[in-house]
Amino acid sequence: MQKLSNWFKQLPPITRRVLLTLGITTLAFIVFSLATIGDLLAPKNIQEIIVNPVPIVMSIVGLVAIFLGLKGKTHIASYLLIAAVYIGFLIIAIVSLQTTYSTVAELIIVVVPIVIAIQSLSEREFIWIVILAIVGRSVIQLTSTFKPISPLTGASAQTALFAQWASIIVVILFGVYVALNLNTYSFRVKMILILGILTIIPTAIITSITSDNLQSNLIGQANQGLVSSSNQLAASVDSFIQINLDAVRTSAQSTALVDYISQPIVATTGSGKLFPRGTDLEKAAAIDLYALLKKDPLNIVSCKVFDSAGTIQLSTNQIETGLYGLTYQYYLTPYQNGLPYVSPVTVSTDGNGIIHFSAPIRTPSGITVGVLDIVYSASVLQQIIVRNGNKLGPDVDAMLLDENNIILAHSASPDLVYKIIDPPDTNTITSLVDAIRLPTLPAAQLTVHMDGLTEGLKNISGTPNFSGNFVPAQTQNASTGSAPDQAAASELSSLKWYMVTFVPQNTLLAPVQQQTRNVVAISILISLICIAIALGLTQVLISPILSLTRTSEQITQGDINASAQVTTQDEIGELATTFNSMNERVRDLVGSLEQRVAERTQALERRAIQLQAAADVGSTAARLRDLDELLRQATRLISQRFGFYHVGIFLLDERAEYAVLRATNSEGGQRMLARGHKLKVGQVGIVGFVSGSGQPRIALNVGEDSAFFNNPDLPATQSEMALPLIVGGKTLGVLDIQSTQEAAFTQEDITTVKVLADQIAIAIENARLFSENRIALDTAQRAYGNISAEAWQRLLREKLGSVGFVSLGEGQAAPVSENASPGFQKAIQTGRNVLENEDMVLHMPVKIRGQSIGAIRMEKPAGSLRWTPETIAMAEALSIQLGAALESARLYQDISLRANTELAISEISTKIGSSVNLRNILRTTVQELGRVLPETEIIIQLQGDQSIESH
Amino acid sequence: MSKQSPVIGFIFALIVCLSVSCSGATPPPTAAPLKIEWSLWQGDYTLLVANQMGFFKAHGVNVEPVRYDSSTTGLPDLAGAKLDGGIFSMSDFLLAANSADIKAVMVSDNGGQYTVVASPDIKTLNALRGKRIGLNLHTSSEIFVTDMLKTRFMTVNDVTYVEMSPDQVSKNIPSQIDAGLVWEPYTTQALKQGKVVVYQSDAISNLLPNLIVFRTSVINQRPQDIRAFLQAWDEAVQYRISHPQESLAIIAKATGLSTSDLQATGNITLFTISDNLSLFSNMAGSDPSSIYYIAGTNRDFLITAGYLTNPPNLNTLLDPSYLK
Repeated sequence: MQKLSNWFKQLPPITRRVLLTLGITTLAFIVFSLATIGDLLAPKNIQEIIVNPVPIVMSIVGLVAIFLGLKGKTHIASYLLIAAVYIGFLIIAIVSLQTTYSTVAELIIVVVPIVIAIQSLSEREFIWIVILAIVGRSVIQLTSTFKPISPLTGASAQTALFAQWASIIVVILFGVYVALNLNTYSFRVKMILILGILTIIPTAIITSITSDNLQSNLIGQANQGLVSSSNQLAASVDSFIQINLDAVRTSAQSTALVDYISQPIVATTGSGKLFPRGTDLEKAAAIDLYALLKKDPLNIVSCKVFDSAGTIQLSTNQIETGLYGLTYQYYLTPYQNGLPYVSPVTVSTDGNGIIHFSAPIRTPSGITVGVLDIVYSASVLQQIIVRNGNKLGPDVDAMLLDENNIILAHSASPDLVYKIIDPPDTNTITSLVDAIRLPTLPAAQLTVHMDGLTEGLKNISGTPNFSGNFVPAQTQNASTGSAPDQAAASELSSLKWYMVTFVPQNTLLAPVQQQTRNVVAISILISLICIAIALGLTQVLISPILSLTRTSEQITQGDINASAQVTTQDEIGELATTFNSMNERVRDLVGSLEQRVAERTQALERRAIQLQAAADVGSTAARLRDLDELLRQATRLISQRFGFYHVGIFLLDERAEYAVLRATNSEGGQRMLARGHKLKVGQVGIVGFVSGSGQPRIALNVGEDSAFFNNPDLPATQSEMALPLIVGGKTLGVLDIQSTQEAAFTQEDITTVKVLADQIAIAIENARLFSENRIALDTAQRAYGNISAEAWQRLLREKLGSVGFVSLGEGQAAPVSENASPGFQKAIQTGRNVLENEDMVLHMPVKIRGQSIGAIRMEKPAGSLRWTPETIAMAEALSIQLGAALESARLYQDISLRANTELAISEISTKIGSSVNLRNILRTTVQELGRVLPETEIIIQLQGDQSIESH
Repeated sequence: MSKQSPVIGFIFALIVCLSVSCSGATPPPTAAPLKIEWSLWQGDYTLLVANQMGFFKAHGVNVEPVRYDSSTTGLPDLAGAKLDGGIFSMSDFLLAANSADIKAVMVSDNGGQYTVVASPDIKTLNALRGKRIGLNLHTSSEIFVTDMLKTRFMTVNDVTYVEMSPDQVSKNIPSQIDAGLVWEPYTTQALKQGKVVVYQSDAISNLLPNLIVFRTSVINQRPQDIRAFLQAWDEAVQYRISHPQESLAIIAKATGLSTSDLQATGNITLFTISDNLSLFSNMAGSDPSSIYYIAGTNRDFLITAGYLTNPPNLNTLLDPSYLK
């Protein structure tokens, strides 16, 4: 683990961030895959076959992306995972169309690609991913709103909940991660993120709130509409009942019926006694009954008259005549209480329902003598709600329930009529069947379940609206689907019946969905516009900053002339302006610095040139020993190197009365030189002034200098500089420099030329000293040479005589007598080589310090080569060596002699020193000297006028 | 630009897919069967033949025949939306149209042979004077009987009408009634039971046609199914005409009646679509063969007899537009 941690920490930061993002995303996919593995193995339809493998595929792609990331290919890995997330969740959302998955997909498809893009892609790529994410989210919103295909119903609530929480956790993780790393993102990315959040979240919230409010309002309106519908339908049924009660009540007062039913009973049929048949009374009564039938020939099954004994005396349905009806409530109740009566719906053996409207038949005196009964087919109730229900609105259905929750009419499912809704027990069914309130059928065929109805009906006094499922699945059509119904119930006023109107919530919410679609479309449009504005705004805001950044980078890279474009008047514009001002100042500073450096460099270069020139002049001056040459070279070099058109050197005459022009470079100067130009010291011209004062003088504008001497030979002179040539406080002369330009001399020029003048002065002094020294040396050399020559003459004369040797070949030599050949003598006397005998004989002098002390005769044998300059030079070298050796030998002899003398003196001194007696000292001294200098008379005498003598 | 093309292409592809998927988003047609009333009447058997022969299925319409003992009893269910349509007599149709939103889209048959049977002691029409006649009141039966009385210069006041369906007629003679209106197969049954024929409707064959009637809401919601139904019906009519024996076997099987009973049926004219186009094209009021003329006659009777509150608009109630 530690190794892994260390390894991870060693990775580059970008790779770390990308791997972390890929890891979290892939982990979420894997967990999601494991959670939905059950669905994967058992797809229920083509949609699930498409959707279920998506998490697995995304997990595999995520692992591949991590592998690529580990290999350093973070860019392609990021793209791979973004593509997987994008396509995967688009497929999940579009194919499944489940609200939960759509919401999750909307969230993930926006957050995950953007977070991945932030980590590893460029700004440009990031912007494209943002646009792509918004488009993807919009596509999901549109598909989930318009639902082009049926939504998938396979996913369990648990899976949906898991997906929701997983996505929320991933989004929170990424949100925290992005927030923590916000400082690492570019300004543009931050701006897009912030603007995106500021635009999309409010639109999402507004959309949600608007939809919720709209939904709430529309549901409220729809509920009110349903209540109104149920009331209206209930009123219709009430009205039907009331009209028929009134009709039967008034019809029962028909004279024909009263007369007919008041006649005595004469015959019996069936259970009762019948009136006489075929009488006029019967015909008149029958006409009235058939007239009643015509009131609603479609629905009135029959009309009949009971007598006071409960026997059907007359009926439009002949087969009923004579039946005994004393136990029927529709007979007993009106007969007993004198009021018209409406029966509950009863079901005949053929399965048709009927409803009785009956009223007492009274004599004019008010005595009840019979009952008129109008039998309606109960399908009239169905007709009423169908006919009136059609006016309530699309998909609004209604059903009529009696007090036992038996369905009397159902506009959506007429087959449900005469079925009981959720009876409490089977006994209830049995008793209702016995009471012919239900058909004689098995209980299973008589019951129907309706979610929410029983509970809803219990509370209708408080809340008439409730929801449930009031149409069995097999009778639902595709447009309404299995969505629950919204209902309202009203109790009839005439009977304890309930009118329930209901509408599928899908239909109810259709306006809501339409509005939601509109809101979603508008919100998508707003989102797209907002993101476009965000991008544009970011561009507008960032552009000057980026321009400023680029400008600063250009400046950093050395392009100091770059300047930021000021396109706005805001703070950024002010910043750019300030930046430009700052840069301008820096540029000025750098410019002036460069100018100063250039000037300085130029000055230094000039100074270096001047110094070099001074050095050259100095070097030349130092090298030259000839004063005139020195002065001539000095003027030429100064003119050349310094660019002055006239340079002249004046030297003071011996009396220091005049400064005499000794050298110059210019033509005018040459004329002056030829003329012997001289200036009175201390009086004429600048040169005269300088030579007199010993101070330099510079006339930058000669016209303004009072001391300037307007020389006709130098008419172009505009400025003049004269520097004294001083050595050891003594003014030797003046260095005069003239230029054709005004103010041609700077302080540096003056300093340099002054140094030069000093060098020249020293050189002049040196040349003088050298000249003097050379004269002295020549004198000394001549003197020494003469001494040496005399010594040799004395040596040869006194000690050696004429000494010489001749070579005998093979290294043998023999002494020779004095050679007096003319060539030999000539060589000695002239000190030069003498060739004779057609250059076969060379006489070469042997010189010591220029004095010939002898000669060498070298004769080549006949037939050999003559003496050539090379062989002569070799011989000369030998001669010089010989001379040196001879001189050294002689000097050695002299030194040895002197050393012996010194030694003797020392010994004498010692002996003298050993005596403390003055006489002894003098004696010893004379003795020792005598021993040292034999054959020499020695006398030592001390006296004021006395001396000591030795012998 | 080249770098951005795949992204833009992808977005456009998504939008195109979305547009296509949205535009193709139409709910599948409802497959709920058309519940059609029929009763034991020769004209109605075409429904059974078409159903048994698969003509409805061939035309893509799902039909569920619902049998009623009397077509009259089916009218409340039609009005109550328990049925989608049925075959009803002209008078029943006009009567029901007074309170139900229905339309007749085709004339199925000419009503066939109405027969008035009586007890053997009644030999002539004149003998019916003062007698009780059982019939379905306020229906074409009443028109027929009333017209029959007119031939002998009698009115409804000269007899007593007793409400009675034809299946009840024979057994209630002479206890409840003296004579009654029947049609096949009740005619044969009555004759077998010793009753005698007093009058038959050969002379006025087209006065009481039967119509194919649908609820208006069904017509509006499923016009294609209505057209398909009529096409299949027409096919079945032609099959019955061209294959009478095969048709008889099919009908016998579907009704549970014997072929002999069915064969005993009197003359009946089945109308094809072509016949209907002719019936509907004739001018109302001038041509007795025009369905509008016949409907007008029936309407006038119902008004006269006091059955109608509002005069029906025949041009609206009779809708031949689905024949084409």
